[in-house]
Amino acid sequence: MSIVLEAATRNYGLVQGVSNVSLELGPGITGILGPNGAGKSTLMKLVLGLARPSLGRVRIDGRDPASDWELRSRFGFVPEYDCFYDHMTAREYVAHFLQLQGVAPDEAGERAAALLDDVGLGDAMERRIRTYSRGMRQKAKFARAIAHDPNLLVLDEPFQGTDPTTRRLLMELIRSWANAGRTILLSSHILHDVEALTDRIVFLSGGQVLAVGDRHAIQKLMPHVRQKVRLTPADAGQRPQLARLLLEQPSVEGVSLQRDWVEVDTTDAETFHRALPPLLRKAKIAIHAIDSPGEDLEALYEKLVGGEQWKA
Amino acid sequence: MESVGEEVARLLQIGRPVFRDGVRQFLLARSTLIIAALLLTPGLLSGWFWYDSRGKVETQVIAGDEVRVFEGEVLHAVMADVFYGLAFHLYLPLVVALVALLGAVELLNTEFKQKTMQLLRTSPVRMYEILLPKLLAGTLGTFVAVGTPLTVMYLALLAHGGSFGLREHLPLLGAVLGTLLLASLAYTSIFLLINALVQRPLPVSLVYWLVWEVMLASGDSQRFSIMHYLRSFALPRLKYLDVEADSLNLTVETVTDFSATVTSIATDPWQSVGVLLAVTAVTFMLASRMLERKQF
Repeated sequence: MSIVLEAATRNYGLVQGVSNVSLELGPGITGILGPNGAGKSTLMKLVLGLARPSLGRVRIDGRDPASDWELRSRFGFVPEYDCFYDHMTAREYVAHFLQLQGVAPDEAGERAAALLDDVGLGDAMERRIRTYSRGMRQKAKFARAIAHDPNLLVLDEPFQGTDPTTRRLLMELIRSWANAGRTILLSSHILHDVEALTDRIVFLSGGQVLAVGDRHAIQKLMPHVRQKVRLTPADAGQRPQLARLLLEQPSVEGVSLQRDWVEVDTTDAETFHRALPPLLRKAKIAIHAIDSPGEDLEALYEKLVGGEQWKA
Repeated sequence: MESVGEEVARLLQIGRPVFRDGVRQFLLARSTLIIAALLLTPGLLSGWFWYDSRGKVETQVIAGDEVRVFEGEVLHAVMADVFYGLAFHLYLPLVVALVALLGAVELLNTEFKQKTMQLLRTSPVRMYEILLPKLLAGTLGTFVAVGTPLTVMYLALLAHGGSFGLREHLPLLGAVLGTLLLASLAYTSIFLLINALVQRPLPVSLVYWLVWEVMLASGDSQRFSIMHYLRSFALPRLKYLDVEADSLNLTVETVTDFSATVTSIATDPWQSVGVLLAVTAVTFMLASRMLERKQF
């Protein structure tokens, strides 16, 4: 499904949810990142039609999700919060929403049972959801959201409160849905989880999109952000020579000598990486490994949200 | 565009689980069970009367019917009066609205509290398809929660008059249950609208009920209340008990220099049904619209 937001703004009284957001998202997994109050949930509500934009417009496959009720048969939603009928068992809960999708009661019950079994709730499906642990509830929410085989899945903090096993199971499910061509929007505070699932990121802060696209590409677009590059020579004895050479490079701001490697601070990673191979060839230094310890999603997130990219 | 047949089939398919769940939720709610248990009290008290009057009740044959008499009073007539008084001066004006109010909160406000409304709004359903089964569940729930104790009370009280008493006053029971059904429908729709409009429906519903239905439901202004139309519907069905408009507060007093005239302002019973159904339809449509437009 294609998701298009055109200059979408959503205010809650004087509080701004999102401001002037323009995005085009397609099939696959897109991670939505941002600190609390960044507008992640508002963006998801706009996509699901739970909120209308105060300005601008939102279209899902060219249709308005806020007024087109039939379009909603293609949506699956896992909210951040609990959203259960206290008196229902997991099976009743999933079957109830399947019936609202037009599935006959008997078939709904059978499909609910099969799905709950798939997510590991087979033994507990006849228990009331209010007796469930956090992880089990999350699984029940997932089962409900995917029961009708939707094309668009909106997952708001889907791994909250889950143990590693559940997390791995849910991640596998999400990957399999994405591989099947579904469009998945996923927000999480656990950046490692997003990183493990996708490179396609939307960074939000203060209701605005700070960056969107492949996280490696975003990193390249931030030339003034300080980055660390770790060089591990094959011969550890060459570390001082390597450090001296690196310090002579104009793109290098600082060098620190560690036990096994040399760590470089640079604000121009691209120039640094271009200059590195001829430099190493000339000095006849063999490198065992090059990593960028600060180039994970968390570091990028910190840099973006901290506003470092705006520094000249 | 869907045909009417398809629309009805869809309503039935989507409405069935919502209705079934709503009835279960309503009737198993703690508040409903407590109120229903309290409402059974007058019926139980009639057992005490039976104990107290044992051996003092005589059976006489009057106009070919076996009639029971206690201290010179025809028991079935006394008990019918007691039942009429409790039904029309306590249960119908006070209890029905309270039960419908709590039921509407249980049916709709909990969808907001439990945040399941957001799931309903992301499901391929129109809000009236959800609200209609909830209205019917609320109506049935209120009718059962109040009607069952009322029927038990009728049986317990009129049993003192023997089988003749039970048969003789079936029109009274019919009037009570008919009025109760209309009251359940109208009040449930009004309270569902309040639940769709405000975040804290309980105090707002209580204020509406106390100010509009209790305090304003006298004199001419009662024409704007649901109670007026409920009483107007019941009045002709109670004529056989010699119940007049003033007994149901369906009168206004006009005072001139020389005299005071009391006149009935009862509305025609079928017109009353029409007004109550119209109120239900309008409030239902407004509530559906409000839910459809609700932003999260």
